[in-house]
Formats: sequence, C-alpha cells, structure tokens
Amino acid sequence: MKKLMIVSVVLLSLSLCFQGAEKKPRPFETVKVPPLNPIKNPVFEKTVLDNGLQVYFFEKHELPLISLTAMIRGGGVDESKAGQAELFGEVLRSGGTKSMSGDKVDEFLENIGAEIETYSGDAAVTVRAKMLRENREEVIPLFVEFLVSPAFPEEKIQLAKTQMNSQISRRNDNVNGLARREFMKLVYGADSPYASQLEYADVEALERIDLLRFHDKFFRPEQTIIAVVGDFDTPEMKETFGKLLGGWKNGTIAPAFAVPNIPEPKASVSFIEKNDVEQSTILLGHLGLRLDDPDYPAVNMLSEVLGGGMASRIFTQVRTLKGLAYGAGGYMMPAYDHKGAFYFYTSTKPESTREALQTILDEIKKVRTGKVTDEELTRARDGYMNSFAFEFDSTEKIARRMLLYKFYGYPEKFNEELRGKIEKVTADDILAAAGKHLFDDKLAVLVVGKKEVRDQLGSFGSVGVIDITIPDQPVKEVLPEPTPETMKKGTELLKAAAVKVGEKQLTDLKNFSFECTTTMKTPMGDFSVKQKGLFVFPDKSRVEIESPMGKIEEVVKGSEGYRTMNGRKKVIPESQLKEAKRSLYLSLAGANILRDVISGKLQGQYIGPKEIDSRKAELVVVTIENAPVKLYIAEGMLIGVGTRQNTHEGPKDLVEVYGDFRVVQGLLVPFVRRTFDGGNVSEQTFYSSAALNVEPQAADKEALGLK
Amino acid sequence: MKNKWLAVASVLLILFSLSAVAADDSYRAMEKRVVEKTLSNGLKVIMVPRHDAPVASFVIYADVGGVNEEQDATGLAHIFEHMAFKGTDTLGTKDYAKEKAAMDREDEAFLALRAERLKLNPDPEKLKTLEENFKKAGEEAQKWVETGEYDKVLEREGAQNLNAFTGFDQTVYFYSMTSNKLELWAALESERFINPVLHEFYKEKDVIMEEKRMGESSPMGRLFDDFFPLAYKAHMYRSYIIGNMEDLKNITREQAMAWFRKYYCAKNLTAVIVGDLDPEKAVPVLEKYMGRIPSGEKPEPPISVDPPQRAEKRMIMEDPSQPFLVIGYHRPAVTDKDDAVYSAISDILGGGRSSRLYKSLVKEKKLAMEVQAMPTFEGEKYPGLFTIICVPNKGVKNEECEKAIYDELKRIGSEKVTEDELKGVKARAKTRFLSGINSNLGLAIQLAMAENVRGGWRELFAQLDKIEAVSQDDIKRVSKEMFIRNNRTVAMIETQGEEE
Repeated sequence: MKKLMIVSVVLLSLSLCFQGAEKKPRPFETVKVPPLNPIKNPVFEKTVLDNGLQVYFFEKHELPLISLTAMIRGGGVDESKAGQAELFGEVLRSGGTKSMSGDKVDEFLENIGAEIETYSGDAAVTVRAKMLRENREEVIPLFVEFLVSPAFPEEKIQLAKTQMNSQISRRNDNVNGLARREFMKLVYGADSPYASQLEYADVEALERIDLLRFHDKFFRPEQTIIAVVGDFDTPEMKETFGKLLGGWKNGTIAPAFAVPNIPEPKASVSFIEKNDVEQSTILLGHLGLRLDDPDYPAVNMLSEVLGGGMASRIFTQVRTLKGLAYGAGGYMMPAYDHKGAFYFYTSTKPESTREALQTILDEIKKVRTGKVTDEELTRARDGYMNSFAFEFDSTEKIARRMLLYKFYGYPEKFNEELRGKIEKVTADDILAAAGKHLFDDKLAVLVVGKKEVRDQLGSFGSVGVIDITIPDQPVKEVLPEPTPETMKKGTELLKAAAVKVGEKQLTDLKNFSFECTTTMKTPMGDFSVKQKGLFVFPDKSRVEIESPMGKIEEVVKGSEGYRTMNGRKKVIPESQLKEAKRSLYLSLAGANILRDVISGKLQGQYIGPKEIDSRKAELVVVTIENAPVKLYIAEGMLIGVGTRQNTHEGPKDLVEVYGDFRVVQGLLVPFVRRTFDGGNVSEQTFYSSAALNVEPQAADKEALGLK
Repeated sequence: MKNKWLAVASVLLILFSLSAVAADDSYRAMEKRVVEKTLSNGLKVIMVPRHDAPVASFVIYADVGGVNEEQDATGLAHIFEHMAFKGTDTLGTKDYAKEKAAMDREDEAFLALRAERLKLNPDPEKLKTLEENFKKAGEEAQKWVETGEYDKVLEREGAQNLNAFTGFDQTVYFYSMTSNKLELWAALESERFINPVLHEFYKEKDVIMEEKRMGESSPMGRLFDDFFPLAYKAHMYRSYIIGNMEDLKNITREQAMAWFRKYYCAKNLTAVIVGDLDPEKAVPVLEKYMGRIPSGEKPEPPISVDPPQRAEKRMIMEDPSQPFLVIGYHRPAVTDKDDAVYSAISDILGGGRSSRLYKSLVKEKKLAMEVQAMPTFEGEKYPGLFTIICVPNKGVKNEECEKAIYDELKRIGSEKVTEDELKGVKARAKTRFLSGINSNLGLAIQLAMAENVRGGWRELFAQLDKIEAVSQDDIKRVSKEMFIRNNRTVAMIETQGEEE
C-alpha cells in the first residue's frame, strides 16, 4: 500500500574543483560522482475531525513500529504561574489517567515494550507514544486518555515537586547548563519565559488546581495536531481516531495566545565565579531572527561561515590554529514564533580566557566589515545543498517537520522554499545581513570561570558580576494548632488595636492620599524614590513613583494592574501583581486587616509574646489567602506586619514595622515604615503628608474607574 | 493474516509469543539483507542496503582503544583519532616536502624540550630557550599547513554527523553522505588510513588537553576519572580514555605514528555502510580504494586481567557539587554465555518507570531523582562493570540511597523475579532493538560493534534470541553471584562542608 512520490527536488552533484590547479589531482578529486537517486517523499494523508482536531498519517512498513505525536498549543509562555507548564508536563504522564493510575500505566506499557511520554515546551505540550504494531489497539486508547482525561493525583504532584526542587539544588553543578541558563536571561531578559528559572518558592506555590486549569484551558481539539507514523493502514487508523477523539469537545472559553515581548539587545559583560572548573566557559551573542525572516537565508550562510562546523572561521582560529579550546563556534539559532538568538561559544583554560574571547570578537567584527570569500560561500552553500537529502532520510523526521510547520503555520514545503533562497544568497547579501543583524557592540558576553579570570575581562567593558547563589528553600514555620482560647484572645487583641487607632475612622475609611520617600538598601548603596499616591480601600491604588529612569505610574485595580513609563503602558505580570495587591492590603499599618476584624470577617490566633524591633510585643497570626500573616501588637497598637514575600533574592520573611504615629483626621497614622529582613532594615519610608477620604483627582478617577 | 489472528487471541501468553514472531520477522529480514565481504587485504566490509532515501552512513571501526595503551602513553588512542582528521601528504598541506622538513625540525625541538622537562632538576633558563625554539619550529611548520582542508572537503560535500569517538575497546570514525558519494568516501577514507600525516600535531594536543579540562570541569567527569582506576587493579580499563595530563604533554608525533602503524592495518579495521547502495556494485569500488590499505597483522590483545576483587572498594569525593553515587560490580565480558542475563538484570532493576530501583527509590521512598542500572559501563569486550548510578534528591544522603539499592540487589538475588517482569524485559528488548536499528548510522555502528566486540555482526541479531532464553532462575543465580560486597566499588560525591 505504500505509495511514494518522487519529489521534484533533484540535487546537483557537483564536480570537485580546487584551488591550486598546478598540483596533480589527488585520488579523491578524480572520483566521478554519479547523479543522486531521486528523493522520495512519502505520501501522507490528513483528516480534520468536526471538533477541529487535525491528524496526519504517514505509513512506513519496514519495521512493525507505530509512533504517535500530539502537539497541543500552550506552554511555558502561556503559563499564569512560574513552573505551571513544567509541572503539568511531568504530572500529565506520571499521574496517569482517570481510568488507569500512573503506576499502572508504567507497568502496562513497559510489559509490552511500549512508551508514552509527555513534556511541555515554550509553546506546546507534546504527548508521544511508541508501540509495536500489534499493541496499537491497547496503546492508542490510552494515549487518547492522556489528552482527554488525565488524573493529576496529589501524590504525583508532590513527587514531581520534590524532583523539581532537587533539580534547582543541582542547577549550578554543571557549568554548561549554568552558563546557558544565565546567557538566555541576558539575551531574552531575566523575566522572559524563554529564560525562565524556577525557584523553590515557585515550586512551593504550585498546586493541583493549577494543573487542572492548564488542562482545561489549553487541551482543546482545535488546538491539537497529531502525527501517526509507522506500520499501520491509514483507513483503519482514521477510523480509530474518529471513534476515540471525535467526541472530544473544546472548552467554552478559547484561550488567547501571545508571544511575549523581548527587550532590544544591549551590550554587557557579565562574570560568574565558579572555582571548581578547569576552564572558563565563554558565551556571547544577542537576539536573532525568526526562521521565516526574509533575511534568514543570508544569516544562515553568515552563521555557517562564521561558526558552523569544523571549517568555520571561529573553529579554525580558536581551535585549529591557536589550540585554545576543544569546542568553539556559534550559530544563529532561529525560532519558529519569536526571535531566535545568535550565540557564540568556547571554553578554554583560565589563562587564555581573554585571548579566546578576543579571537571570537575579532571574527564577529571582521565578518561585519568584509565580504566572505567565494570559497567560503561555496563551501557553506554546497554543504547545505549536498546535505539536503537528509531532510528526507526518515519518515519520522519528515512527519516531525510537518507537525512543526503545521503547528507554527509555516507552508508545507517551507524547507524547499528555504533551499531555493539559500541557493541564491551572495557574498553581498551576507555582508548586508551581517550589518543589519549582527552587532559587535550589542553583544551580551558571559564568562563563567575561576575567580582570577574576572581581571581578564576589564578590557571588554564594565564587568557585572552575577550572583548564582540559589535562594534558600522557604522554611515552613509550624504554628501551634488554634484552640478556642487562642482564637478568642488573638481576635480580642486585634479588636482592641482597632479601637486604639480609631474604630469609627477605620470603618468610614474610603481612601488615603499620601506623599512619601522610600529608601532601599542595595549592594550598590542606598537608593531613594519619591512616591505620591492614593489608596482606595479595599483594593485599588494609583501611585506615581519618581525613579531615576523617569516617572512611573502604577495602577492596581482589583485583579488587574499596569505600569506606565515614558508613555508605554505595560501589564504588571501576575507574580508582581500579587505582591502589589498584598502591599495594598497591608497599607496604612494594616488598616484593611483591622477593618476585616471589626466587621468579623477575620479572626486572629494568639501565639505568644515575641520581640520585634527591640520592643516587647504580642504575636497574633491571621490567615490571608491561605498564607499566614504575623501581626505584632505592642502597648495595644498594631506596630508590625510580617509576611513571606518574593524578592529578587527569592522568598523571604519580611516584617514591616510602623512608628511615628500621628493623628490624621482622628485616625492614628504611622509616618515611618521600616522593613526588617532578619535583623537588618532593608527599606525605610518617611511620609511627608497623609490625608483621609480626599476627593480623588481626575487622573485617579480615570485610572481607577471611580465615579 | 497474522494480525486478524492476533486480535482474536485472548490469552496474554499466546499474544505475547505471537508478538515475538511478528517482531522476529522484520529483524530476521533485516539480518538476511546484510552482506559481508572480506577484501583482498583482509579488511572486513559489512553492508546493509536500505533504499528509503538516497543517503548512506559510513563507518570505519578500528579494533583499538584505551585498553591497548601503556603507562606513560595514556591517551594515545584518542590522540590518533583527533589526528586522523588532519589529512594526508596531499590533503591539508601546501607543500608536503617543505612541511615534512619543518615538521622534522619541530619534532627535534620538541624532543629536546621534552628531555629537559623530564630531568630530575630541569634548568629553568634552558627550558625557556627550548620552549622558544619549539614554538618557532612550530610556526615554521604551520606555514605549510592547509588548515582544516579535510573538514572543508567533507563539509562542502554535505557530510552529516561527521565525527569519531574513542572508547576503551574501539576507535570509530563515521559520517553520512548522499549515497552517490560512495566512491568519494572510499577514496577519502582509504587515503587517511593509508598515508595519514599528523599536521599540527602539537596544537592538536593542546586541544585535547582542553578536552580533558572540560571533562574535569564537571563533577561527574572528576568522579569517573577516579572511579575506573579504583575499580580495576590490573586491566587497562583502569585508565580513563582521555589520558593523564603529563602523558598528553609528553607524547610525540612518532609515538602517534607508531600507534597508527601497529593498529590501523586492514586486518584490524572494519568498514560498515548502511543505506542506499548496491553491495554488488560497491565491492569493486571498495576493493579499489580500501583494498590498498596495508594488510598487516592483527595485533595481540592485551594480556592483563583483573584478578577477582578481594574487598569492597570505596571512594568519597568531597566536592562543591551535590551528592551523586556510583556502584560498580565486576562481571564477565559480553561474550560470556550469561551476557543476556546481565542485560535482563539491569533492565529489571533500572530499565524504566516500572523497574525495581525506580519504583523503590524514585516513586515510593522519594530518595532519588534518578537511578539507572547499566549492564556494562564503558568497556565491554573484556570483563567489565555492571554499574548503578543514582542521583539523590535534595537533602537525601548517599547512604540512604545506597541502602535502598542494596535492599533491591539482595531481593533480586534471593527471590525469583515475576513472570511478568521477565516478559516485560523481553518485550522492551524487542522495541528497543527495533528503534535502535531504525537509523542508518545507528545500525552501522551497532553492526561494527557486534563484529568486533561480540565476535561477529550476527550477534547483534542473536541478542534477542539470547534474551528470549533467559529464565527466572538465571536472573536469580547471576544476581546472587554478582551482587556481593567484595565484588563492588562504590564512589560518591559528598557536598563539601556538609560532612565533618
């Protein structure tokens, strides 16, 4: 039944000709290369079910194997919580399905030599299966269950989280992994999903509901493409998929997909100290191109000449001629749906770090200012043309490529179109592409190496040191079990504190307008900003911050928020929004908490006496959004609020301590706020003015949607 | 039709034996397609025609590896592998006669420097002068080098996966090209093994020293570098392939050429081609080019063997990295009659998500992130190591993992494995085998390995029959014999500063 179509692509066999014609031809130069046998492209069939699911069928009967691959749109880029997609990809498989537990699946599959594996990438979740032909009737229905009815049991979530934590703990052991990770942050921005790095606190925050939501949102037939490859009969397989997946329904709300913003490249030199290595690992590069960029063919040839393979300029200089490294080279790695990256690499003994880096930089500069030679271009282009047959050397490869093209909306014969364009690239095109896309003055340079190596980097620019210390795993504090007595006492203490600052004023509190100066301690010294803003209780705020980079407007309205800077408005990412909402809730010395205590919404648990800021206080704990908040009461006043916060150094237990209380319109308002990180003050705020229940300004009204 | 039959069969056992038949068919058919030919000079050629795409994979397997090395010259097998990419007297040179003269002067300068360096009290002044002389001589020789010409030719021809590797047991050179370039491959490949010239020898040694540093920059690289010499007392599997730094520094071009002359004769080489070729038409082409490689004599195999281990050996490496555990048990060579039993044991212990070690350490006790069992680790032509590797979870000590591993090793040596477990092993062996021979290059390398390590390429296909014959008793018997304390070597990484 196997039909083969002969692709029109016929490769030219090139007769070899070399420079130096005066030499007698060498044996290999006299070899006559016969024409290439035609490339066969397998015929495939496609079916689209009524629910929008696309399935592609590629028959191949040499071995009795069948493989399935499903790509479902939705991945790390689309997650709403750090680590959500990764955990999903793991527990999707390990947790099994509603009809068969993960452990049962393991035994069942392995006893028949079959496999089902799942993982999540940036843009998609992939589910794969491999089986002997005769097991298809058992394995395919199970494969389908992984799409439609996965189980996500709590036990496997915990196991996966343990493993994710173990991975975090090991992430600095391997120098290559470490360098690649930090380099991606430099290229795409530390917050970018293309450079994401999980912390213990992220893992801790992941819950089963996150996986259920992810599945519900993204696993939809209309967003899924499946490829079936191997020893089967297409009509039978079509029927199977129709039967098994025809009834799969889309969820009610179609998810929106967006490609994240990527910052423009900027030059930098960064150093990471790692003393247990015998070499410096060097990476440099910047943002690149999408695969379908019109300039990609020229850039591909450029990167081939510069760093692709053992005959490239960088390899020749760094390894072959100078013997500085085992590996050296570089590429422009394109991506399908976002800008890829140029990256150049090598690793060399500590004392030759500077020389190796300089050698690569020189080659980058050189290729921007002078044309590549005919010999170089011919070699790169012929290499591409002569290896094109390998695009078709396995049905699996062809199917995989087709799946990716369909998934990212590329034309079916994209590779053949690309080949046509590469064939036409000239040395002038390459020079133009180098000028337009490769910048020696926008390179992010990263060196990981022994301490003394840092001194070799001064000539490349001012060196920023990246601290790779892994933030500690949050220690879970065990609170005593609440008893009626401790709950009563805690609540009473809080009520009394509300009375002390002004119960009626708290109840009537509509908004709070303020001006203040906040000073933060950083490793580079103190850093002050002026702020001015309005809090509208319970959950809105608009704050103007005068930062050294210019004025920032930050607006939080319930569950949404944005920042405006230099006229550019950006949505606050969910993780940061959570922090903003928290600080809003705690603002004005825990006014919201006290209001909720007065109204009976919130109760406190008394823990015992506890010292804070060298003062004797009573500790009461309340639970807000499933997290404990510590309230310190001294002399009847609420003087401190302790919470666990995500900082740039990882999660920390911070305590805000209030002082300099003054009466404002009958309410006791603190004019000083200090944040304690352990015994140290990490931030101080001094208020210069405060007013309650003011008439909001026009800008506030507009931003916050007030009447 | 066989498949109709299958659907009706309800008894698992019957189903299973039938599935075995179905898989057998395809690999038996593959076996029948293999063509073997010994050229006039004794070079063995193995070919498998496969016409899916107009491409082919080409392998040259030299039956020489780290195991053939001697003290003071470790790393030589790998050095020659690197040098085989440098070209010949017509490839990689601008003017061979002039380059040769310059290389001779460079070698002379190196020998003088080497002699001074090896003195009990080298004279620092002399060293400096000698180093300068050597450097200058190198620069002279470099003038005549056509750098990277061999790579350039192949890159232009569109060679894919162009590479080579050196193991304890072998040195393997391979790449894939479109299948119309068979003759070109034969011409290029035969020349580099008839008349190699070690252009840029000393610079390439610098590259290799960087490769060694790269390995030592990884915690596991550091651990394995010490693990092998600890596990083996006499056999050269004790010397990790990359070689010792001082040996690398002192090895001469002449030593590398002597290595070539001894080990790269036709009788010690195997060529394997898998892909779109017609073996009948290929043979005369191969005879024309490959047939010119000097026949030579097959070198004697290494003599030393490890005596039975008398005591457990244990090594703890304090390192800045996270804990890691390796346990090795001596086992016979893969030509042993029980070889398939060792494979079955490793699969039952650590072959997948349902394997015993994974179930115990990863899923149930949550002690490890990863645990694996390998029937052999690195060397396998001679008695080697059955090896278990374990990556503990955060906060878990190696000892906790070690204990849990021993519990499983004890169990497999004292109770029979279940019938289902054994069936699983056989089924997995089949799919793994079929997936492994799916690619031209994969099949070519495996055939070459079987030919040289297992005593014949047919052994590749026979492995499945051997697995099929393994019994529950075999597994118990071999496990009991192997998993004893005196037979093991344990190496681990402990995080610095966490132990007193």
